[in-house]
Amino acid sequence: MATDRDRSIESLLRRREIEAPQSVAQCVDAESLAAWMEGGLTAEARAAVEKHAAGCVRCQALLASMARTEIDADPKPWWRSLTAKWLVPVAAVATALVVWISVGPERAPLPAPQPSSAAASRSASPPDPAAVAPSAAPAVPPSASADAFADKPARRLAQTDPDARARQELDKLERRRQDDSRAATEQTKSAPAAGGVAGGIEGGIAASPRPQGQTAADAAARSAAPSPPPALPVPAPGPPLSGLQAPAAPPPPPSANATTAEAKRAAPAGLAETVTIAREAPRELAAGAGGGAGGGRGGGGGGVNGIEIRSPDPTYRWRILLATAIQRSTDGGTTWASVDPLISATRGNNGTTVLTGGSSPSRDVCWLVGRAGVVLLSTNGATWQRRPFPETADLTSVRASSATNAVVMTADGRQFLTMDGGATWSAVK
Amino acid sequence: MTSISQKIVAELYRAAHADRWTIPIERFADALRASADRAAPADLARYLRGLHLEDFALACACAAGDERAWEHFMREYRPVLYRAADALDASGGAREIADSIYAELYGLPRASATTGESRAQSLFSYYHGRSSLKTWLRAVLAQRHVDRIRVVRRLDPLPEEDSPETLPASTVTITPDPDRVRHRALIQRAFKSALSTLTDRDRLRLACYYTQELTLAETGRVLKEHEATVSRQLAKTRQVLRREVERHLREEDRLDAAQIEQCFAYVLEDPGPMDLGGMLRKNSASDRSI
Repeated sequence: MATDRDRSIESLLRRREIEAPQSVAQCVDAESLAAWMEGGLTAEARAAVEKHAAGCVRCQALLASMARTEIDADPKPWWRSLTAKWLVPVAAVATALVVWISVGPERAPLPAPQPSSAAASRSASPPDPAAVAPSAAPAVPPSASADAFADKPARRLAQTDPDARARQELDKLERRRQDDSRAATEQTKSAPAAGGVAGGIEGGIAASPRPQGQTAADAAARSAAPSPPPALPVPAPGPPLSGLQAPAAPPPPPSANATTAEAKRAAPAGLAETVTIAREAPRELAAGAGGGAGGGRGGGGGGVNGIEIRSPDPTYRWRILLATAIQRSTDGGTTWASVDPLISATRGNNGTTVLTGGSSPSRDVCWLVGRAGVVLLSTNGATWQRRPFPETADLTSVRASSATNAVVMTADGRQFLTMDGGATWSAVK
Repeated sequence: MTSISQKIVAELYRAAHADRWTIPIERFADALRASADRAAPADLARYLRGLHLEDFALACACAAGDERAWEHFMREYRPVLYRAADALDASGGAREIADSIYAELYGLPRASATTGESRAQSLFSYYHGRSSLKTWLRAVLAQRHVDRIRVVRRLDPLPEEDSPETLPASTVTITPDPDRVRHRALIQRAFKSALSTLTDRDRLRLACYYTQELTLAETGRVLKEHEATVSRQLAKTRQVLRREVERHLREEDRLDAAQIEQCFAYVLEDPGPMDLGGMLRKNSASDRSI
């Protein structure tokens, strides 16, 4: 019956009758009352008022009236009004939306889109002695200390940034691929790696293994070495790069080219790469290509991998296979259709077309870049246009926010911006 | 009148920005001394430091008939007064009070209730800077409003003896019980005794919430407590009251468990004639003047 007793107490507390007349001469004056409400009384005065008010119905009524008029007497500032309460967050969301739409994937500087140092270390886990970097080489040069996902800010950013998320997914795919292709790796290791050079960029883009401590300079030097088919010279080496190796592949030949990821590491820290480059090779293709063109191009298993370019709509994707063939998927990567109208238009000096990266800011728009200043743009998902580029430098990556705005990066770390669909370019300082 | 050095007066005059108005420093000093009379001599420095000097200077200037000060007051404070009036009485009744206060502030004569004489002293002369001018105006308005309501209630005709208002709503449903009156009286006495054990703050909280029917937030505003604290304290107080009532019935009135249970049951059916406000008032140890 405890509840009933509590209710009994409550009913006693709620009993009120018409108050008896009471002398007001002893009551609290208006100023004391006001000071009470403002908390301006001394402790003694406050206690005295409290004591009086506890037994004085009139003063209780005065305090009650004061309490009832407190909010209304001081109107809320406009920014605290109900309208503003909604208006402010709505405006903030609208602003964020506008910024997001206008900027798109071209966002604030991000860490280079490469596997984290942790991922790199995981990549190094396969017991392939050849894949181990020279002990003298620093495992992680200072330039890579700000490396992507190992850093908390980057992780936080990855939670909100689609590109960063994509890179994380790619890292996962990379790790999964490493696990899945252990057997293939063993086979590849036993195969002659001499064909390697040809696998240079294309293989490297895909999943070129690389010892820790290998620098862009090394890579550039290697890429400049003669190899069948001949690779285009890389104009200038980039800054030192962090070590990155793909354990699923055999150790790189000395002439292995710098990977796109490495080139991106060489990029200025303030300009982050947002291109989604997948090292995940379609498994069904990996087998065939690995023994065919991929193997011929060297890079072993790396040669069989492609560059996957995801549009904001995850069902629309592109991929560059063997650095030359382009495919498009409109069902999230389940099926792929060849879209390859550009080969003849984009042949390099040596007669081959080498594509190194791409960016798809929307489902039908895709930018592709390649060696020798190759820039291709498709705005309908079916046809391609070669866009003029002022230099013949090898382009390693592109990031685009629309069919008109894009930034490409050269192998030597320079960046060029276009805001007119590739008609004109300006160097990014 | 409390003595305040000229140096301090000059400092306070500057701090109050009283030179904005055409108020002579002598008049400001007089008002300051009148205000300081309300402070204990030992506490004078702290009192002066705690004054709302700018509001005080404005009030002095308005009371002295400074036109610019009055215009400023009208522009800044009359809306406050009207908003408070509307909050008290949305029908506009309190606006009349606000207008009358406004007239008194201006110094229009107000007929004395007792002598019928009229005085031309501004209401500002009652403001001493102990609170902000805005809050003081609201307090004056609240006083007038409450007093008017009390007068109206007093003048309301009493209900007829056999009118429904005089009959407890649940009377007709209560079965006759000879112990009802006695047990209800016992628990009411125990309840009053329990109330007397509460602190002033607890009783004031009860009064605000139950007698004045303030919300938790409003009660918290009066007591400078968070509404969650008010809720928690009220629950705690109810528990204290219940335990004290039970103890009183058991130990003072020598009731057994069944009788105590019966007491609570009677109260639950019909608490009977009782007024919490009256009980709190009578329980107030000293209803002294402030």
